[in-house]
Amino acid sequence: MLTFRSDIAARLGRSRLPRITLILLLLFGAGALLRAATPRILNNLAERLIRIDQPTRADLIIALGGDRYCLREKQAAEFYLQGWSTRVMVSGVQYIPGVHTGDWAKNYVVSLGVQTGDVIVLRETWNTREEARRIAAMMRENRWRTALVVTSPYHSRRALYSLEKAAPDLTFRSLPVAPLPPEWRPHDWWKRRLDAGTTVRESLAWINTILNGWE
Amino acid sequence: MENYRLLMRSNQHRSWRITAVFMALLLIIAATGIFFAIPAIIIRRPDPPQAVAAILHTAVGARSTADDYVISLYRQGYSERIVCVSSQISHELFPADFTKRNLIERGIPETAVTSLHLPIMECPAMTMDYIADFCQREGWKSVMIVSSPEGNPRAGAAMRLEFQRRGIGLIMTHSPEDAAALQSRWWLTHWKIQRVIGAIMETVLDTIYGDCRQANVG
Repeated sequence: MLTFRSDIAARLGRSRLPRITLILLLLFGAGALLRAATPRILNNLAERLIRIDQPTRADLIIALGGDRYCLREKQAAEFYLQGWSTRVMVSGVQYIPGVHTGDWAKNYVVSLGVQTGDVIVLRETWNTREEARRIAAMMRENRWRTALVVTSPYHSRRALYSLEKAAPDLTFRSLPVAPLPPEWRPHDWWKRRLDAGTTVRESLAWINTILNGWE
Repeated sequence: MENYRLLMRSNQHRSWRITAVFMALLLIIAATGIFFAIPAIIIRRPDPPQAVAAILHTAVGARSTADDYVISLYRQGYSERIVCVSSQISHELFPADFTKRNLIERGIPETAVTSLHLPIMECPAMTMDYIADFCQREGWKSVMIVSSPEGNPRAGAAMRLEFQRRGIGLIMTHSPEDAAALQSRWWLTHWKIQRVIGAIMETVLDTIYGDCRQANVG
Protein backbone atom coordinates (compact mmCIF):
# COMPACT_ATOMS: atom_id res chain seq x y z
CA MET A 1 0.00 0.00 0.00
CA LEU A 2 2.75 2.37 1.04
CA THR A 3 4.75 1.54 -2.08
CA PHE A 4 1.71 2.09 -4.26
CA ARG A 5 1.07 5.58 -2.73
CA SER A 6 4.71 6.63 -3.12
CA ASP A 7 4.60 5.51 -6.69
CA ILE A 8 1.58 7.71 -7.40
CA ALA A 9 3.17 10.64 -5.58
CA ALA A 10 6.33 10.23 -7.58
CA ARG A 11 4.38 10.14 -10.84
CA LEU A 12 2.37 13.20 -9.84
CA GLY A 13 5.55 15.00 -8.87
CA ARG A 14 7.06 14.23 -12.24
CA SER A 15 3.97 15.27 -14.15
CA ARG A 16 3.45 18.47 -12.05
CA LEU A 17 6.54 20.21 -13.43
CA PRO A 18 5.36 20.47 -17.04
CA ARG A 19 1.85 21.37 -15.84
CA ILE A 20 3.18 24.29 -13.80
CA THR A 21 5.29 25.37 -16.75
CA LEU A 22 2.22 25.22 -18.95
CA ILE A 23 0.18 27.29 -16.49
CA LEU A 24 2.97 29.87 -16.23
CA LEU A 25 3.26 30.03 -20.02
CA LEU A 26 -0.50 30.47 -20.32
CA LEU A 27 -0.48 33.20 -17.68
CA PHE A 28 2.43 34.93 -19.38
CA GLY A 29 0.67 34.66 -22.76
CA ALA A 30 -2.57 36.02 -21.33
CA GLY A 31 -0.66 38.88 -19.68
CA ALA A 32 1.13 39.74 -22.91
CA LEU A 33 -2.15 39.58 -24.84
CA LEU A 34 -3.87 41.80 -22.31
CA ARG A 35 -0.99 44.26 -22.41
CA ALA A 36 -1.15 44.39 -26.19
CA ALA A 37 -4.95 44.69 -26.20
CA THR A 38 -5.30 47.27 -23.40
CA PRO A 39 -4.63 50.37 -25.54
CA ARG A 40 -7.21 49.18 -28.08
CA ILE A 41 -9.75 48.47 -25.36
CA LEU A 42 -9.19 51.87 -23.72
CA ASN A 43 -9.35 53.71 -27.05
CA ASN A 44 -12.48 51.81 -27.97
CA LEU A 45 -14.15 52.62 -24.66
CA ALA A 46 -13.34 56.32 -25.05
CA GLU A 47 -14.65 56.36 -28.62
CA ARG A 48 -17.91 54.91 -27.32
CA LEU A 49 -18.47 58.13 -25.39
CA ILE A 50 -18.93 59.89 -28.73
CA ARG A 51 -22.15 59.87 -30.73
CA ILE A 52 -22.25 61.42 -34.19
CA ASP A 53 -25.43 61.54 -36.28
CA GLN A 54 -26.12 62.75 -39.79
CA PRO A 55 -27.20 66.41 -39.82
CA THR A 56 -30.70 67.25 -41.05
CA ARG A 57 -32.65 70.51 -41.07
CA ALA A 58 -34.06 71.05 -37.59
CA ASP A 59 -36.25 73.40 -35.59
CA LEU A 60 -33.29 74.56 -33.55
CA ILE A 61 -29.60 74.06 -32.84
CA ILE A 62 -28.70 73.55 -29.19
CA ALA A 63 -25.22 74.37 -27.87
CA LEU A 64 -25.05 72.73 -24.45
CA GLY A 65 -23.42 74.76 -21.70
CA GLY A 66 -20.18 74.18 -19.84
CA ASP A 67 -17.52 74.73 -22.49
CA ARG A 68 -14.75 77.07 -21.33
CA TYR A 69 -13.51 77.54 -24.89
CA CYS A 70 -17.02 78.09 -26.33
CA LEU A 71 -16.29 75.64 -29.13
CA ARG A 72 -19.83 74.29 -28.80
CA GLU A 73 -21.33 77.73 -29.34
CA LYS A 74 -18.94 78.38 -32.22
CA GLN A 75 -19.99 75.17 -33.99
CA ALA A 76 -23.68 75.89 -33.35
CA ALA A 77 -23.23 79.32 -34.97
CA GLU A 78 -21.53 77.69 -37.96
CA PHE A 79 -24.48 75.29 -38.42
CA TYR A 80 -26.86 78.23 -38.19
CA LEU A 81 -24.93 80.16 -40.83
CA GLN A 82 -24.92 77.04 -43.04
CA GLY A 83 -28.72 77.06 -42.85
CA TRP A 84 -29.40 73.88 -40.84
CA SER A 85 -31.80 75.81 -38.60
CA THR A 86 -33.14 79.30 -37.95
CA ARG A 87 -32.66 79.25 -34.16
CA VAL A 88 -29.79 78.70 -31.77
CA MET A 89 -30.23 77.82 -28.12
CA VAL A 90 -27.36 78.44 -25.70
CA SER A 91 -27.40 77.74 -21.99
CA GLY A 92 -25.61 78.76 -18.85
CA VAL A 93 -25.73 79.57 -15.16
CA GLN A 94 -25.45 82.57 -12.86
CA TYR A 95 -21.77 81.96 -12.13
CA ILE A 96 -21.17 84.93 -9.84
CA PRO A 97 -23.18 88.13 -9.31
CA GLY A 98 -23.18 89.99 -12.60
CA VAL A 99 -21.98 87.06 -14.67
CA HIS A 100 -24.42 84.76 -16.44
CA THR A 101 -22.57 82.40 -18.74
CA GLY A 102 -25.70 82.02 -20.89
CA ASP A 103 -25.77 85.75 -21.69
CA TRP A 104 -22.08 85.61 -22.45
CA ALA A 105 -22.61 82.65 -24.81
CA LYS A 106 -25.42 84.58 -26.52
CA ASN A 107 -23.17 87.59 -27.08
CA TYR A 108 -20.53 85.28 -28.51
CA VAL A 109 -22.83 83.60 -31.08
CA VAL A 110 -24.22 87.01 -32.05
CA SER A 111 -20.64 88.21 -32.60
CA LEU A 112 -20.22 85.24 -34.96
CA GLY A 113 -23.16 86.34 -37.12
CA VAL A 114 -26.27 84.80 -35.53
CA GLN A 115 -29.23 87.24 -35.42
CA THR A 116 -29.95 88.38 -31.83
CA GLY A 117 -33.64 87.49 -32.22
CA ASP A 118 -32.74 83.93 -33.22
CA VAL A 119 -30.86 83.17 -29.99
CA ILE A 120 -32.61 81.61 -27.01
CA VAL A 121 -30.89 81.50 -23.62
CA LEU A 122 -31.69 78.59 -21.34
CA ARG A 123 -30.94 79.51 -17.71
CA GLU A 124 -29.81 77.71 -14.58
CA THR A 125 -28.68 74.48 -16.19
CA TRP A 126 -26.31 73.13 -13.59
CA ASN A 127 -26.14 69.60 -14.93
CA THR A 128 -26.95 67.61 -18.06
CA ARG A 129 -30.17 65.97 -16.85
CA GLU A 130 -31.59 69.26 -15.59
CA GLU A 131 -30.61 70.87 -18.89
CA ALA A 132 -32.29 68.02 -20.80
CA ARG A 133 -35.54 68.46 -18.88
CA ARG A 134 -35.57 72.23 -19.44
CA ILE A 135 -34.82 71.82 -23.14
CA ALA A 136 -37.63 69.26 -23.48
CA ALA A 137 -40.09 71.57 -21.71
CA MET A 138 -39.11 74.56 -23.83
CA MET A 139 -39.30 72.57 -27.08
CA ARG A 140 -42.77 71.23 -26.25
CA GLU A 141 -43.97 74.67 -25.23
CA ASN A 142 -42.89 76.10 -28.58
CA ARG A 143 -43.96 73.02 -30.58
CA TRP A 144 -40.43 72.40 -31.83
CA ARG A 145 -39.95 68.76 -32.75
CA THR A 146 -36.32 68.40 -33.89
CA ALA A 147 -32.98 69.70 -32.65
CA LEU A 148 -29.33 69.41 -33.57
CA VAL A 149 -27.30 69.04 -30.37
CA VAL A 150 -23.76 70.41 -30.23
CA THR A 151 -21.58 69.51 -27.31
CA SER A 152 -18.08 68.27 -26.54
CA PRO A 153 -17.29 64.87 -28.06
CA TYR A 154 -16.85 63.07 -24.70
CA HIS A 155 -20.22 64.43 -23.53
CA SER A 156 -22.23 63.71 -26.68
CA ARG A 157 -23.53 60.20 -25.99
CA ARG A 158 -24.56 60.97 -22.41
CA ALA A 159 -26.18 64.26 -23.43
CA LEU A 160 -28.23 62.52 -26.10
CA TYR A 161 -29.12 59.71 -23.69
CA SER A 162 -30.40 62.30 -21.19
CA LEU A 163 -32.32 64.27 -23.84
CA GLU A 164 -33.94 61.21 -25.38
CA LYS A 165 -34.88 59.96 -21.93
CA ALA A 166 -36.38 63.33 -20.99
CA ALA A 167 -38.23 63.67 -24.31
CA PRO A 168 -38.79 60.41 -26.17
CA ASP A 169 -41.40 62.21 -28.31
CA LEU A 170 -38.84 64.65 -29.75
CA THR A 171 -36.00 64.07 -32.20
CA PHE A 172 -32.40 64.96 -31.38
CA ARG A 173 -29.33 64.61 -33.53
CA SER A 174 -25.85 64.66 -32.12
CA LEU A 175 -23.25 66.77 -33.92
CA PRO A 176 -20.40 67.17 -31.44
CA VAL A 177 -17.35 69.36 -31.73
CA ALA A 178 -14.43 67.58 -33.42
CA PRO A 179 -12.12 65.78 -30.97
CA LEU A 180 -9.14 67.99 -31.74
CA PRO A 181 -7.03 70.21 -29.43
CA PRO A 182 -7.91 72.05 -27.28
CA GLU A 183 -10.85 69.61 -27.05
CA TRP A 184 -10.64 66.19 -25.47
CA ARG A 185 -9.21 63.48 -27.71
CA PRO A 186 -10.10 59.80 -27.32
CA HIS A 187 -6.94 58.40 -28.94
CA ASP A 188 -4.40 57.46 -26.24
CA TRP A 189 -6.33 59.58 -23.72
CA TRP A 190 -4.53 58.01 -20.74
CA LYS A 191 -1.25 59.60 -21.91
CA ARG A 192 -2.55 63.14 -21.28
CA ARG A 193 -3.48 64.30 -17.80
CA LEU A 194 -6.35 66.54 -18.88
CA ASP A 195 -7.92 63.95 -21.19
CA ALA A 196 -7.48 61.21 -18.59
CA GLY A 197 -9.29 63.33 -16.02
CA THR A 198 -12.09 64.11 -18.48
CA THR A 199 -12.52 60.45 -19.48
CA VAL A 200 -12.68 59.22 -15.90
CA ARG A 201 -15.02 62.03 -14.85
CA GLU A 202 -17.30 61.32 -17.81
CA SER A 203 -17.35 57.60 -16.96
CA LEU A 204 -18.38 58.45 -13.39
CA ALA A 205 -21.04 60.83 -14.74
CA TRP A 206 -22.37 58.00 -16.89
CA ILE A 207 -22.70 55.75 -13.84
CA ASN A 208 -24.47 58.55 -11.97
CA THR A 209 -26.83 59.15 -14.91
CA ILE A 210 -27.73 55.50 -15.34
CA LEU A 211 -28.34 55.09 -11.62
CA ASN A 212 -30.40 58.29 -11.68
CA GLY A 213 -28.14 59.60 -8.90
CA TRP A 214 -27.14 63.12 -7.80
CA GLU A 215 -28.26 66.10 -9.83
CA MET B 1 -14.60 9.21 17.37
CA GLU B 2 -16.49 9.88 14.15
CA ASN B 3 -18.88 12.17 16.02
CA TYR B 4 -15.96 14.05 17.53
CA ARG B 5 -14.47 14.62 14.04
CA LEU B 6 -17.79 15.87 12.70
CA LEU B 7 -18.14 18.19 15.67
CA MET B 8 -14.63 19.54 15.16
CA ARG B 9 -15.28 20.07 11.44
CA SER B 10 -18.53 21.91 12.09
CA ASN B 11 -16.82 24.07 14.75
CA GLN B 12 -14.06 24.86 12.27
CA HIS B 13 -16.63 25.88 9.64
CA ARG B 14 -18.44 28.01 12.19
CA SER B 15 -15.24 29.81 13.23
CA TRP B 16 -14.45 30.51 9.55
CA ARG B 17 -17.92 31.88 9.04
CA ILE B 18 -17.66 34.07 12.16
CA THR B 19 -14.25 35.34 11.01
CA ALA B 20 -15.61 36.11 7.53
CA VAL B 21 -18.62 37.98 8.92
CA PHE B 22 -16.40 39.87 11.37
CA MET B 23 -13.97 40.84 8.59
CA ALA B 24 -16.84 41.97 6.34
CA LEU B 25 -18.24 44.08 9.16
CA LEU B 26 -14.83 45.61 9.80
CA LEU B 27 -14.48 46.38 6.10
CA ILE B 28 -17.92 48.03 5.98
CA ILE B 29 -17.15 50.11 9.10
CA ALA B 30 -13.76 51.16 7.71
CA ALA B 31 -15.26 52.06 4.31
CA THR B 32 -18.06 54.05 5.97
CA GLY B 33 -15.53 55.83 8.19
CA ILE B 34 -13.34 56.73 5.24
CA PHE B 35 -16.38 57.88 3.20
CA PHE B 36 -17.56 60.32 5.85
CA ALA B 37 -14.01 61.48 6.60
CA ILE B 38 -13.29 62.37 2.96
CA PRO B 39 -13.97 66.12 3.28
CA ALA B 40 -11.85 66.27 6.41
CA ILE B 41 -9.03 64.65 4.40
CA ILE B 42 -9.32 66.85 1.31
CA ILE B 43 -10.02 70.15 3.06
CA ARG B 44 -6.74 71.88 3.71
CA ARG B 45 -5.98 73.15 7.18
CA PRO B 46 -5.80 76.94 6.69
CA ASP B 47 -2.69 78.80 7.80
CA PRO B 48 -3.29 81.58 10.32
CA PRO B 49 -3.43 84.92 8.44
CA GLN B 50 -0.34 87.13 8.53
CA ALA B 51 0.53 90.53 7.07
CA VAL B 52 1.57 90.01 3.44
CA ALA B 53 2.39 92.05 0.35
CA ALA B 54 -0.74 90.83 -1.48
CA ILE B 55 -3.81 88.66 -1.10
CA LEU B 56 -4.39 86.39 -4.10
CA HIS B 57 -8.10 85.64 -4.31
CA THR B 58 -8.42 82.42 -6.31
CA ALA B 59 -11.72 81.24 -4.81
CA VAL B 60 -13.59 83.01 -7.57
CA GLY B 61 -16.66 81.09 -8.59
CA ALA B 62 -20.18 79.93 -8.09
CA ARG B 63 -21.23 79.16 -4.53
CA SER B 64 -18.23 80.87 -2.95
CA THR B 65 -18.46 83.35 -0.12
CA ALA B 66 -14.75 84.04 -0.27
CA ASP B 67 -15.32 87.66 -1.37
CA ASP B 68 -16.58 88.44 2.16
CA TYR B 69 -13.55 86.72 3.67
CA VAL B 70 -11.09 88.57 1.41
CA ILE B 71 -12.75 91.89 2.27
CA SER B 72 -12.50 91.10 5.99
CA LEU B 73 -8.80 90.22 5.62
CA TYR B 74 -8.20 93.49 3.79
CA ARG B 75 -10.09 95.51 6.40
CA GLN B 76 -8.17 93.82 9.20
CA GLY B 77 -5.01 95.17 7.56
CA TYR B 78 -3.37 91.93 6.47
CA SER B 79 -2.58 93.45 3.09
CA GLU B 80 -3.10 96.59 1.05
CA ARG B 81 -3.35 94.76 -2.25
CA ILE B 82 -5.81 92.18 -3.62
CA VAL B 83 -5.41 90.23 -6.85
CA CYS B 84 -8.47 88.34 -8.15
CA VAL B 85 -7.31 85.29 -10.11
CA SER B 86 -9.21 83.06 -12.54
CA SER B 87 -9.07 81.36 -15.89
CA GLN B 88 -11.82 81.81 -18.48
CA ILE B 89 -15.17 80.06 -18.05
CA SER B 90 -16.58 81.11 -21.42
CA HIS B 91 -15.26 82.97 -24.47
CA GLU B 92 -12.98 85.66 -23.00
CA LEU B 93 -15.04 85.65 -19.81
CA PHE B 94 -12.81 85.84 -16.74
CA PRO B 95 -14.83 85.84 -13.49
CA ALA B 96 -11.86 87.49 -11.77
CA ASP B 97 -12.77 90.76 -13.54
CA PHE B 98 -16.28 90.65 -12.06
CA THR B 99 -15.03 89.69 -8.62
CA LYS B 100 -12.71 92.70 -8.79
CA ARG B 101 -15.73 94.88 -9.67
CA ASN B 102 -17.73 93.38 -6.80
CA LEU B 103 -14.94 94.11 -4.30
CA ILE B 104 -14.71 97.71 -5.51
CA GLU B 105 -18.49 98.11 -5.24
CA ARG B 106 -18.23 96.88 -1.68
CA GLY B 107 -15.76 99.52 -0.66
CA ILE B 108 -12.27 98.28 -1.51
CA PRO B 109 -10.34 101.15 -3.16
CA GLU B 110 -10.00 100.70 -6.92
CA THR B 111 -6.23 101.15 -6.68
CA ALA B 112 -5.97 98.21 -4.28
CA VAL B 113 -7.56 95.57 -6.56
CA THR B 114 -6.35 94.05 -9.82
CA SER B 115 -7.20 90.87 -11.69
CA LEU B 116 -4.97 88.18 -13.13
CA HIS B 117 -6.10 86.07 -16.10
CA LEU B 118 -4.83 82.52 -16.03
CA PRO B 119 -4.52 80.52 -19.24
CA ILE B 120 -6.23 77.09 -19.24
CA MET B 121 -3.45 74.68 -18.39
CA GLU B 122 -2.80 70.95 -18.38
CA CYS B 123 -2.28 70.60 -14.63
CA PRO B 124 -2.44 72.68 -11.43
CA ALA B 125 1.36 72.68 -11.19
CA MET B 126 1.52 74.80 -14.34
CA THR B 127 -1.01 77.23 -12.87
CA MET B 128 1.03 77.40 -9.68
CA ASP B 129 4.14 78.19 -11.69
CA TYR B 130 2.30 80.94 -13.55
CA ILE B 131 1.11 82.54 -10.29
CA ALA B 132 4.56 82.24 -8.72
CA ASP B 133 6.10 83.93 -11.79
CA PHE B 134 3.59 86.76 -11.47
CA CYS B 135 4.39 87.27 -7.77
CA GLN B 136 8.11 87.24 -8.51
CA ARG B 137 7.69 89.83 -11.26
CA GLU B 138 5.75 92.02 -8.82
CA GLY B 139 8.66 91.72 -6.38
CA TRP B 140 6.49 90.47 -3.51
CA LYS B 141 8.20 88.67 -0.64
CA SER B 142 5.05 87.27 0.91
CA VAL B 143 1.56 86.47 -0.36
CA MET B 144 -1.62 84.98 1.04
CA ILE B 145 -3.63 82.72 -1.27
CA VAL B 146 -7.34 82.51 -0.51
CA SER B 147 -8.47 79.41 -2.39
CA SER B 148 -11.43 77.05 -2.34
CA PRO B 149 -11.21 74.81 0.74
CA GLU B 150 -10.73 71.47 -1.01
CA GLY B 151 -7.44 70.56 -2.58
CA ASN B 152 -4.63 68.16 -3.02
CA PRO B 153 -2.33 68.18 0.05
CA ARG B 154 0.68 67.16 -2.05
CA ALA B 155 0.08 69.96 -4.53
CA GLY B 156 -0.24 72.36 -1.59
CA ALA B 157 3.11 71.23 -0.21
CA ALA B 158 4.71 71.49 -3.66
CA MET B 159 3.32 75.00 -4.03
CA ARG B 160 4.77 76.04 -0.70
CA LEU B 161 8.19 74.67 -1.70
CA GLU B 162 8.08 76.39 -5.07
CA PHE B 163 7.26 79.77 -3.53
CA GLN B 164 9.93 79.22 -0.90
CA ARG B 165 12.46 78.43 -3.66
CA ARG B 166 11.65 81.81 -5.20
CA GLY B 167 12.03 83.55 -1.86
CA ILE B 168 8.31 84.24 -1.41
CA GLY B 169 6.60 83.44 1.87
CA LEU B 170 3.26 81.73 1.27
CA ILE B 171 0.17 81.66 3.48
CA MET B 172 -2.62 79.37 2.23
CA THR B 173 -6.09 79.86 3.57
CA HIS B 174 -9.77 79.70 2.64
CA SER B 175 -13.10 81.08 3.75
CA PRO B 176 -14.35 79.22 6.85
CA GLU B 177 -17.92 79.56 5.50
CA ASP B 178 -16.92 77.84 2.26
CA ALA B 179 -15.35 74.98 4.20
CA ALA B 180 -18.42 74.60 6.42
CA ALA B 181 -20.78 74.69 3.40
CA LEU B 182 -18.78 72.03 1.59
CA GLN B 183 -18.72 69.72 4.61
CA SER B 184 -22.38 70.02 5.45
CA ARG B 185 -24.27 66.94 4.17
CA TRP B 186 -21.95 66.82 1.20
CA TRP B 187 -23.01 63.35 0.13
CA LEU B 188 -26.52 64.60 -0.68
CA THR B 189 -25.68 67.48 -3.02
CA HIS B 190 -24.53 67.20 -6.61
CA TRP B 191 -22.09 70.16 -6.65
CA LYS B 192 -20.49 69.10 -3.35
CA ILE B 193 -20.04 65.53 -4.57
CA GLN B 194 -18.56 66.93 -7.79
CA ARG B 195 -16.09 69.05 -5.85
CA VAL B 196 -15.13 66.21 -3.51
CA ILE B 197 -14.62 63.77 -6.40
CA GLY B 198 -12.76 66.48 -8.31
CA ALA B 199 -10.32 66.98 -5.43
CA ILE B 200 -9.76 63.23 -5.07
CA MET B 201 -9.21 62.92 -8.81
CA GLU B 202 -6.73 65.79 -8.85
CA THR B 203 -4.76 64.01 -6.13
CA VAL B 204 -4.76 60.73 -8.06
CA LEU B 205 -3.91 62.42 -11.37
CA ASP B 206 -1.11 64.39 -9.74
CA THR B 207 0.34 61.11 -8.48
CA ILE B 208 0.02 59.29 -11.80
CA TYR B 209 1.11 62.20 -13.99
CA GLY B 210 4.00 63.26 -11.78
CA ASP B 211 5.94 64.35 -14.85
CA CYS B 212 3.43 67.18 -15.40
CA ARG B 213 4.12 68.33 -11.85
CA GLN B 214 7.90 67.83 -12.07
CA ALA B 215 8.27 69.48 -15.47
CA ASN B 216 6.73 72.69 -14.26
CA VAL B 217 7.92 73.00 -10.71
CA GLY B 218 11.37 74.19 -11.54
